[in-house]
Amino acid sequence: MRRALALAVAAVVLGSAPAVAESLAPRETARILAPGQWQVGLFNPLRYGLQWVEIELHPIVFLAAPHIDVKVPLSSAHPDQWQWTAHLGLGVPTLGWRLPKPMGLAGDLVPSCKVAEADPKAAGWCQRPGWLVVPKFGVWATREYGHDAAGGGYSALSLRAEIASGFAVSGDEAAPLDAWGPVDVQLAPQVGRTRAQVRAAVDHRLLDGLRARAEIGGYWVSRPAGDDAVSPWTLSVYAGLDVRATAHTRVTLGAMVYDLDRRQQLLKKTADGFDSYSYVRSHELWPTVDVLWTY
Amino acid sequence: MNRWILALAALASIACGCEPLADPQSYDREAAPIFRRSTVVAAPAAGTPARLKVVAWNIKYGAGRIPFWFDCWGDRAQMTKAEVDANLAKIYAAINELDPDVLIAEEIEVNSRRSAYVDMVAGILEHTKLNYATFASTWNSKYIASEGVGRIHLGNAIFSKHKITRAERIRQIDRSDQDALTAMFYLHRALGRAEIEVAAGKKVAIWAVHTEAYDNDGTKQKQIAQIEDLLAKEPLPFVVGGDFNELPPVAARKQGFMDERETAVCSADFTQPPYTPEAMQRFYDKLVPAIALDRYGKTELEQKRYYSHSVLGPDEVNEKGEKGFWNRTLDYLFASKGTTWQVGSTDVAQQAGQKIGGDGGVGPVLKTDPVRLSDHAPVVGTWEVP
Repeated sequence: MRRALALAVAAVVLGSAPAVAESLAPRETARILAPGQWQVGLFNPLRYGLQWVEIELHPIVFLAAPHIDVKVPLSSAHPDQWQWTAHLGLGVPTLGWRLPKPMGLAGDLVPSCKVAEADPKAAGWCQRPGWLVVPKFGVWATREYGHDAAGGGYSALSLRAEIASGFAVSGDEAAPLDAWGPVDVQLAPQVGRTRAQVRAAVDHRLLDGLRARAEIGGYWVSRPAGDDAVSPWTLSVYAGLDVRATAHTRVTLGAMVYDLDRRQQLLKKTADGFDSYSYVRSHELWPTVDVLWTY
Repeated sequence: MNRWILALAALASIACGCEPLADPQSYDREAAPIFRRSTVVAAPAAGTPARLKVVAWNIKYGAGRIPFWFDCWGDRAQMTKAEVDANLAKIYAAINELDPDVLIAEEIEVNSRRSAYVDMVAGILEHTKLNYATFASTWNSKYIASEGVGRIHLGNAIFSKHKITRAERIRQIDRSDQDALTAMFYLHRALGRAEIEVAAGKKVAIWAVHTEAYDNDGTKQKQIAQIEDLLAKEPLPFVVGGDFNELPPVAARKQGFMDERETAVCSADFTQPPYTPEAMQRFYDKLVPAIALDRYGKTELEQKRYYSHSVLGPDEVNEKGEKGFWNRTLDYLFASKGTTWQVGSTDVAQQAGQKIGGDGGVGPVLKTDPVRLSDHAPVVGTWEVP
């Protein structure tokens, strides 16, 4: 059984490899996949090209938190010109917060509300997110440059702006997660917060099978009225390499640094020898790795 | 705690190289911070013998009677700033009414998400006549994923009108019935110790205690024995007080408390293990209790007068519809031999209208209502040091 599985994986990874591999394309740009083309990663979502649009969803997450994103090109891709693409999304994440593992995250990041489930009189104390819909609106702008006539490779500068917000259909407003940087930024709308983000990325062709990518991001996550203990602003910087492993497979390696306010507390001596607390912004370093298949 | 998420947190701890994800517990006995009120209020002269009014109070991180998820009567995991401020205002009022010279506070938080990141040590210093404080951290984690607890910084504090000249955090024996990841992010009990200069050249020591509540491996008993050993070496006259999470040796009821659910809805992690009241006998034998065993009486009806803990408050009911009220004694004050407690000054401050010390007591008659301010009642006494 294990051998058969390994053979099947090898067939998918290595199968139908062309004699001469094309140059690796930049990823996460305004350009959408060609009709019928798809890409998926271990952690990255499944993207699929249709006529005029690209759809995007995460197969594993989809079962507990149905969602779909659509990228709609607003202009064509031409070398040394800006291509514009709209990004729309809609999700219903609530089941993901209520189902136990492995399907959901009940009791992790948000309360499980076991008492309320057993005793409806206690429902008023439950603080998990209610039923939410999460629309997303964004725009991508990409300028492709440095085209290599021989290999067909090129580099890309991409800008992205997006706003996503969780609108409660039922239940109380959940508290902000105030979690680790990537978790907080990714899941803020899924707990009913509004997240605005602006990102700029350079995806530079080094060789046909090797790309360097750098990205900076700025995020704003809303907080409930009167809750100003934590700054809503987060910054991120990413640097990494994309390496072609096979004709259809690339490995992405990198690191992400987050600068965010998580009420990190420092103890300081005052001039008269006593102690006092001060607060500084936190920095988190996250290594990133993924394997992407493109067909 | 959830092992799956803890594994993720451990991975994150490798990833995040800047702030430790949890207190590394790399100490046995270390200096603790000393904080001072922004404007020092003149402390009363201690006199001869020195008289210090001491209060020990587990303040439940300013949650009042909000039922948190591990209480098993509600699911709250977070409070708003307005809720915390409102609860703390009542706690400040109760402290000011009792007007202690020394306050031993347990379950006090200085930077926790569930209590809106409020620094309660600073809050008590600025809203009472207490001038100095030390804080012995017992739970300091950057992020607890379980139930969305988030950042937590909880501990034991000692406040004083007189100057704290030295402060220590002393590590208590840890539980051995948890896996390594759970243990890393769980609270680690510690004692607070403060040396207080009550008059020129005259120092006393105050010890703050909050021993384990939910262990199934005898950790609490080991911690209580550890406290006894440490106190045996204390060179200064001392008071030790706080939430021992243990019944007195004469407790009439040892199980089946009215605030325990009959049908389990919570994790087994928060089931009350059997009490071992005999573990407290050593303090009655070797120290001077604020409330002697003979005052407790023998029946539940008699002992009720000195109960100091209830998960349910008077505005909540159990599954039988009974309103909550103090139903067991877990909080204590003991002084070193050679010192005494002023007659009529010692009591458990249970509810509004109660005169501290009873009919012949020194008072005051409580205007504040401690039974609505925390799941523990303050224990009060005026300590006399020759």
